[in-house]
Amino acid sequence: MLVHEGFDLFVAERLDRLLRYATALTCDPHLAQDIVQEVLLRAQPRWARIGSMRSPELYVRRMVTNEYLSWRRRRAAKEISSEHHTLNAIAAPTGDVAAEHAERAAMRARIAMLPRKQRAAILLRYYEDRTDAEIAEVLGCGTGTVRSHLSRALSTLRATGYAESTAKEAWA
Amino acid sequence: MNLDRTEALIRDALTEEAGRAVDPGAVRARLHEGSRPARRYRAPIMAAAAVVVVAAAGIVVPQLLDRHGAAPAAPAALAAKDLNVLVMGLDSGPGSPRADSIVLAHLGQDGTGSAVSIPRDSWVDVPGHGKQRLNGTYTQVRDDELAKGKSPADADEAAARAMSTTVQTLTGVTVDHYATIDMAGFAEISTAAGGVPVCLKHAIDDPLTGVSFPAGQQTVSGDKALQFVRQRHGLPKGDLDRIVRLQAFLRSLANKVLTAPEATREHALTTLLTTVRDKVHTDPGWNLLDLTGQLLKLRGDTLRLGTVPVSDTPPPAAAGPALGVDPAKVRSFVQDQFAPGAAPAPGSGDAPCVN
Repeated sequence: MLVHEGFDLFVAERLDRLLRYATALTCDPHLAQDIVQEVLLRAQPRWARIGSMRSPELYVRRMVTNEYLSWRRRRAAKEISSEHHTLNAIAAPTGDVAAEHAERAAMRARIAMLPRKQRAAILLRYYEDRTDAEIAEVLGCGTGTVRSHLSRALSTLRATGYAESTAKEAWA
Repeated sequence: MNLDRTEALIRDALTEEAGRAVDPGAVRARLHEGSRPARRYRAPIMAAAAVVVVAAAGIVVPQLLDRHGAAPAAPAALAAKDLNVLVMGLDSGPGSPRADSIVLAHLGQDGTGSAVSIPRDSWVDVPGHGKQRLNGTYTQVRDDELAKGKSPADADEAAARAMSTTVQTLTGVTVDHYATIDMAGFAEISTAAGGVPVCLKHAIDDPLTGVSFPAGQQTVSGDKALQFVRQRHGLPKGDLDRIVRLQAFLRSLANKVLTAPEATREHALTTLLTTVRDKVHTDPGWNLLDLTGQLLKLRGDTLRLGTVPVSDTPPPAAAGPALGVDPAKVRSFVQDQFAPGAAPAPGSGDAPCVN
């Protein structure tokens, strides 16, 4: 297959998923678009090499992730104190649409406030169903570090029980 | 929360976030062009030309916001600075929408908040376009950009920037960010907030539009909230009364969120902001969640909300309804409104009643 055809095929098959990955990673559709565009434009002339790798898809995700991690503009999110109340049994899902929406929105906010590498690990595990080894390849670290990112992120994201269930009452 | 449920919620949340991705067609088009895409994270809101205009008018030249991520001097803390955000409520067309509500909000680093409304019919100086009605500026610039072949998203951005420059010129205040919201988005946000308490002096019953409200205290959300803030006919002072309704609504909303119990307030606010983030368009690269820390410090009951002074006598050059504005009076008013220190808290807890 001609090299440029390989790139075009890659884009045709993977662009949608790649954009979604970048959007969930950056929490910013415009930034995601810019990053994906930049990365693909850089990858295109190098496709002879990238296209013949074991997993071009993982490699391109790595490029996107690195581009984002090195983007200098700081978020204020880390400044926000996140006092998490200890675990309490959360109310069973009520099936109430508004409550579910609020729950999802609260989780999205928490994910958006995670340190970037933890967010990338969570995204790769729970949105892309990647293995530790694949996540390690994207993040450029060892599998031990991957497990550490995941467990820290999960403990942050899990510790919402009391605060969230009472948040629903705040709106009642 | 047990792990399975957390994981399911994480997956749902990530899927929802990922769903905000732009249309891949836009990216495909740029790739075919093969050229380096123009970086969105380029200019501050205020274009270079406007700097000259503002300086010539003798207004203190505001600090340009450096968007290219120059490392902040104190990397540990959020750069503590006052923030000015131009919020525009857009009607639904047909064609390019008009900016029907124009509110310049100020968040002081001391935790004070204020907002000034600028009537849509204000006859203002639009840099590069001469004098015209403020709300038509958005429409006109958007149409011009579309005619030049720009995408709707780029046209929206150009129109919002033009409004920001105009408001900046009029008020003498730097506009750091903008946010536009359409009618459906407004309705959904009020629903996400669980409804907003308001009070009407008189019952409303308009057979023409089907709008009907009882007199007195009530809670509005969704379409009712939209009807509440959009009504103009039958109000003694027309659009100026409508602005007062919006101010009452915003004060009540702010109060509701900021007086939630302390333990849940941050959650309530971040949940609401995440919904807002989905429904508004902002200048590219601005993350609304960045405001959380500053908003949590706000005292909802001491917000200063006011309308810029306008003249009754319509400007001679204007055709149709227009309100004359004196820029010097507007600047002085805005400076007072945005000065540090809170307004005195009102007496009662209920929402004040409006026309």
